[in-house]
Amino acid sequence: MNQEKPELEEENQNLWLTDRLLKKLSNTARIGKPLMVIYLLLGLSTFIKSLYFLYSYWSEKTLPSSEFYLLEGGNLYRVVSIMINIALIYLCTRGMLEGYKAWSKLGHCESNDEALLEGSERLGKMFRWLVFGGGVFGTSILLKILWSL
Amino acid sequence: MINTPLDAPTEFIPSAEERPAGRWMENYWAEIAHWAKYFALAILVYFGWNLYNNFYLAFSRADHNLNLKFVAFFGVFMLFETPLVFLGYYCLLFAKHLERALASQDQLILEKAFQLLHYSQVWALVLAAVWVLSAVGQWIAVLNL
Repeated sequence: MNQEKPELEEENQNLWLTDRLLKKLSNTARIGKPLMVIYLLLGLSTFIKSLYFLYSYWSEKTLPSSEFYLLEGGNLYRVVSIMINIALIYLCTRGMLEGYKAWSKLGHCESNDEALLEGSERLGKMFRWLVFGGGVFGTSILLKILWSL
Repeated sequence: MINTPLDAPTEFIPSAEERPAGRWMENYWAEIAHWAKYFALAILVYFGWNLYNNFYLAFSRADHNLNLKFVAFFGVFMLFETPLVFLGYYCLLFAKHLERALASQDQLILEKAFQLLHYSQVWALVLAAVWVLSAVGQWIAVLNL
């Protein structure tokens, strides 16, 4: 009896794929999938709005004379800003797509081991792309601060 | 009071049909914890920047009195920013719990970690709802409806 107890303790010192854990994972999939779609649409809406503002600004500024100089009137800042926005929307879209695929897979993790493995791998990728997106967003804020100095 | 050794097993006892997660799953969870922590920190830094940008600058330009306009502004700011703070907070807790579960091989902490991920998703949903309201308002203003 005394010899069995340490073995049992050692066996319990692992992480297990319990039914309760898999249930929690598939619960996250239920919210995760629609969440990714909503954020994707919101991101696109914000991007289109910023493009619209840029277009209306430039059409007001350049249409009367039809002249555009990159180094004048804050045009360089706006061009760099729009490039950063494109990078941001690319990275965040990659993140959302990985998240959507991850939660699609994790929704079936209770009965499918491949789905569990692939879903977990993609969840890590989702966070990684979103962190890269956050880094680019931080760069755009820094650029704004530097430009206002 | 009972003295419990630090390496004592948790209350968790696996049933006969349950399996260990294995090295692959643990590596994936470690990857998730690593990036989720940075993601949560990015959210909290963004909140800090927003707080500074909106309050410190607004307050420094005002006449240093908490007037009605300032209080209303504070209310609107909190409506928009509270879900962001909770999202960052629960995401950070999720990452920390996942790291702790992997380090100590504690099943109960692992299960709690995914519960915290669920909470962070709920706050992300609240944030999305607030963002939808804001986006609709902005589009109405842009299109002059």
